[in-house]
Amino acid sequence: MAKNIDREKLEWLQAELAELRGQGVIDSGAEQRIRGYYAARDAEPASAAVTAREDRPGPAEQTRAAAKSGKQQYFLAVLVALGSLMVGCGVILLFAHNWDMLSKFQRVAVVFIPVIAAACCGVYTIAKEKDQRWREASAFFTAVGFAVLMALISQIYHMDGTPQEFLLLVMAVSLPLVYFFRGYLLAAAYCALLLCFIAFYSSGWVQDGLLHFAGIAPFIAYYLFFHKPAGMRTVWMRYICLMPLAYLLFISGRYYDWASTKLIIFAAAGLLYTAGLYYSESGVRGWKNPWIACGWLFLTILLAVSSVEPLFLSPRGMVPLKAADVIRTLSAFWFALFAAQVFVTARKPTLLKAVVILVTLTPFFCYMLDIRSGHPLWVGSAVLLLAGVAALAEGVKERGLMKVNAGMLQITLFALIKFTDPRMGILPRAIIFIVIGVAFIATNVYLSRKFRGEKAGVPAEGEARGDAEK
Amino acid sequence: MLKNKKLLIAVFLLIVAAGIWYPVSKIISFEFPSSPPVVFRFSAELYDPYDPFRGRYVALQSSELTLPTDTPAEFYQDAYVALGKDENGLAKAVALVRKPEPGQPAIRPYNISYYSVYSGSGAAKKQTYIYRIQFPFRRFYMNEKLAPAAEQAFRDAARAGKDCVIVVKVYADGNYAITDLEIDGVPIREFVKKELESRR
Repeated sequence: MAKNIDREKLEWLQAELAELRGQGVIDSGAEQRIRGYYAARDAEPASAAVTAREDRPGPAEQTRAAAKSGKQQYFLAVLVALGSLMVGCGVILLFAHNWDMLSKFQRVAVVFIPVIAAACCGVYTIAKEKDQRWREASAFFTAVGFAVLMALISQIYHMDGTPQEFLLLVMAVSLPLVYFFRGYLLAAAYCALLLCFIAFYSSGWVQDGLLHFAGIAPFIAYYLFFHKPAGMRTVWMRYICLMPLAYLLFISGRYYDWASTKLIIFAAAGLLYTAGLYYSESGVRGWKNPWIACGWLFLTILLAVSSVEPLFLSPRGMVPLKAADVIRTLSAFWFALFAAQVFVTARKPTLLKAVVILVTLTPFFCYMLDIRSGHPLWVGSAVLLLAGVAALAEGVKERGLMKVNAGMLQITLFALIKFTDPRMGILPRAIIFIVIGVAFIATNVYLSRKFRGEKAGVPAEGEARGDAEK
Repeated sequence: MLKNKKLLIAVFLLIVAAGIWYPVSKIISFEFPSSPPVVFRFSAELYDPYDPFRGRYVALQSSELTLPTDTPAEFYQDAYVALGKDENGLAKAVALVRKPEPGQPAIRPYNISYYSVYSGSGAAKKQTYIYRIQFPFRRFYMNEKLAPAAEQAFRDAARAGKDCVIVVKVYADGNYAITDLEIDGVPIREFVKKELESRR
């Protein structure tokens, strides 16, 4: 069975072939043979005919033609999908308009049409071994068929039931389809529905929500941790998993008291940030690594709030938090996440990851040491500054612009908060600003001299390229 | 490979069958009951909200029924309410039972609570348990045009002192289906259509 060729990969390969030929790694014959092989694999009659002709176009033209053909195919697919959606919506509205004219049995018959059509689509997908697009469509179509069936049957018989009961039922019957068709889109929809449970929150729904989370968790975990970190499926799962994570945070917040919730929120932010940093070091960067941006933003917001509101204040007043309280707070899932965070850091320790762990642990220290009012704001500010300096230092060391910017933003935020802090006298503020400013200027001078020294030598080609990528 | 495909198709069809099992079982229980359902009429109040998944409906609020008993029913939270009819033909609560019995239509209430009332004094002091029962008849689906008109019609009918009734089929197994709403004995669709025509 021929493997499906990813269009982007093919375009990249075709562009790379010209580069390889230019560098003398392969000769033009090898280049043409590789191009011919992939043109045949691509199974496009038009491009195959072009390849077979004697006056075949050059490599650049072939690359452009393949890219154009790919874009056209996607454009046509989008048109077909949109057209089908419009026709489907039109048919639904037609039925809705004439719904009262149909007898009860006619209505019952009509409501089975979508699910039967979806089943036919699913069987066709399996029988013809169709690709991922078909599998996604079959999974989604069947789930929508179930939803339509249940909604209309309960409407026809005037059955009682709340929207959350309906969602639970639809999610329960859709879950097997996620696994069966490996439906990433359906998995995303499932997680979005799980997030909707926040709107329907009541203590009675916690178990149902957690049960549904447990249902999708293995699917997400499998693609997150047992596939290539830079693969599209894993990247997709990195985005999707943010929704159940938000749901779990919400549930934890409602289940525990506010003091414990703060610890959990810090743990979650720290976890996202360290995991993002870990994958960033493995080469998963930019939009493929949403955790690093989410974790950084989440943690920065928390630290900024901690600088103006006493988030780090001990919740028990005079009584320091006992170890048992901490264990209770970090029970089960969150304890596992926290352990994973420490493990991730310990495997490949860096300054920034260590600081993030420290930042995550700061509320625990404050609670354990029973820090009272006044001080926690300073702790929050100091930790924000520390996180910023660590990010900046690591960014400078690695020549990573993103980390430098992240660090600079955190330090700027710290400066803004303290500059406008009325609880601090003008003189101490002035001194702090001058000290920090001098530290920056000194660092700038030091680094400038260091970089000039490096420029004097001839940098290795790989190093120069690595820098450019960073 | 062919065998594998057949197996996959069988598994998929099994998933589809599991997905449609619940609605199909509901249809079968409504359309082919083991014994014919008994029709009860509950007095009601209406209002007109919207369900994002199922569309416009007339939300019902069946009038709360009360059931006085001398002995408490410890199982009352899981109880079914056995139904009878009063002198006006409206439904009334007869007893709390653990499950529906043959010949005694009963449904599970939406909410049930109780309070105690004392009467007499001294040795003749008597405690009566009054159960307050709310029924799960809360939705009557209508099309987008008729549902708001039904609400308006009901308001007008209520001001004019007319009766509003939910007609419910109660099945032997405790299942139930709302079949109609009536204002002064006229089905609500007819009532609303007449109202709309009279306004033109």
